[in-house]
Amino acid sequence: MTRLASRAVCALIYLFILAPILITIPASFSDSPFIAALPHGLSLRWYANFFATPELTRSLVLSLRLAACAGTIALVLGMLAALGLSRTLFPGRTMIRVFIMSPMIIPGLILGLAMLMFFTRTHLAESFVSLVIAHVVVTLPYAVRTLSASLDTMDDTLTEAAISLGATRFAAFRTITMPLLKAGLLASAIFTFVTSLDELVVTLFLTGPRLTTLPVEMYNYIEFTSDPTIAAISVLLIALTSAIVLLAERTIGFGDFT
Amino acid sequence: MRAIEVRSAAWQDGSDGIARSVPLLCPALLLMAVFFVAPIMTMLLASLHRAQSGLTGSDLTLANYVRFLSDFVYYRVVWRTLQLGLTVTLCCLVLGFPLAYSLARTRGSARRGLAVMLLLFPLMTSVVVRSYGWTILLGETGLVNAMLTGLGLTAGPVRLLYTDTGTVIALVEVLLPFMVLSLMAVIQTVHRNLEEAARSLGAGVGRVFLDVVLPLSMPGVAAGSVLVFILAIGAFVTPALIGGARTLVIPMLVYQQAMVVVDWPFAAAISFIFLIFVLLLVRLTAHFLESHRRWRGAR
Repeated sequence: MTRLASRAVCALIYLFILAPILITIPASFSDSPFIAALPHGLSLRWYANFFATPELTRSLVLSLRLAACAGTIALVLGMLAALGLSRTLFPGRTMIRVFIMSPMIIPGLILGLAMLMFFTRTHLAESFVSLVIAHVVVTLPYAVRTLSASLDTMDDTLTEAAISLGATRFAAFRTITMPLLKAGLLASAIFTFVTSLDELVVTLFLTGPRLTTLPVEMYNYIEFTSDPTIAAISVLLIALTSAIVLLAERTIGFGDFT
Repeated sequence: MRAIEVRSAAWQDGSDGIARSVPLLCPALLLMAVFFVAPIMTMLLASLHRAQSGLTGSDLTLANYVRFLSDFVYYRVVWRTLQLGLTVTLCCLVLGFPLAYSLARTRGSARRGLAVMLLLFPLMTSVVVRSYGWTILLGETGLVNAMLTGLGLTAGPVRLLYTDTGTVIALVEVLLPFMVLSLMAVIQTVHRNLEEAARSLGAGVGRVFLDVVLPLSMPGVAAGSVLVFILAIGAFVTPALIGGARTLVIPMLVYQQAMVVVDWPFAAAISFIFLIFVLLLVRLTAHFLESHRRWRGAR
């Protein structure tokens, strides 16, 4: 009996967590321009409207390009930093780790404002480069965290054995460390890509009329219009995220992820 | 004697380690120095300028800080922000604990994997999407109101959108996964045998929770609460979309001053005070967790 009650409580909490995500699905198929949870007639017009609105499709392309560039740079820098932080004990190691992680705890709004002021001064404001830089700073902690976690669970003796058998450090890294890190690298790539794709608050300060990302464009759209186009985009984004998460679960598994 | 040897070996590894680690850490540290530290320093400098000075003069002032700290209007905003943060944190704790507990006690990696995946999924969905979902749910013709009137709990539609209640509901939903993951990590380390021992000695479910599970989970409660609190008081998108202009919290004040009023020095000063507050909170929590660990280790 208590078991059943606790299951019911958990199910309700899950329903609460997933409700706002799931509700966008029926709302996106509505045929009326007014938002309703349960639409009277079905249509695909809001999906069509998304693809017919150049501002929205352009911002989607920009977001994907941005996530690919920033994600790749963050992954490379994060990989190097995670290797530098692992296994070697040197004074100040914890401080360096905390420093690299700090963009995670600083409210995005403050980081965004600081970057706006900095890029305005260095005449980089409203450029694709400034967006890439901002997204690398925001996603780097995620890359380092996931990669450090998988490096920590790895058995060092394998690399040591390779080196003692005459392999150079680079060869040992390429043939031993890299293959063992595959899952960690994939998880890290997913986190950085998705974080960049969803980033809104920092980006809100750095975009302009000619250069907007999809989340910023969606945010602006919601402020002025209330038709279900945003619901349609939400469903497309949810589908993309689900595909990525499922792929990750298939390849690495979340069973012992905490 | 042996301890000394071990220590000297560690030190040797230390100097060797630096030589090997520095080139690896350099690119990330360089990036952080130029594009993270420098912007924050730029903001600090901007906060010391007068509103219309173009941010370049050498005439520095604390006027922006004095303005924020001496006006009663801003204290109300601060109070509102802290109130929102505390309410959201408390709700997350109450809702998050049962879920975290049952997840930590779930056996079988497949079921657990699915459960954790369902928690990570919202975290990987954009906050715009989730907040937008709440605008559909909480509207006057939304599902929540349809349910409330359908069940006869209220006579007519209740106003939830553009209210503080709506903001709290949406923020709790957005931040709950962070709380559950923090709690789960610690509850997993509380051994099941301790609970069973307490039960067999005659303690009821409530006693076991209050005297065994909760005290041992304190590090998770502290870490999760501080994380959720900081994210809640720093949240901008959800209060802006759900609360509207009625819920004036610090992040919305900063955004208004920076992008609408275009008073960058004042926005920078508020941001800097806010930043110091957040960093202090993080530092204090780290200190608490460290002393708690030592205290447990000593016993």
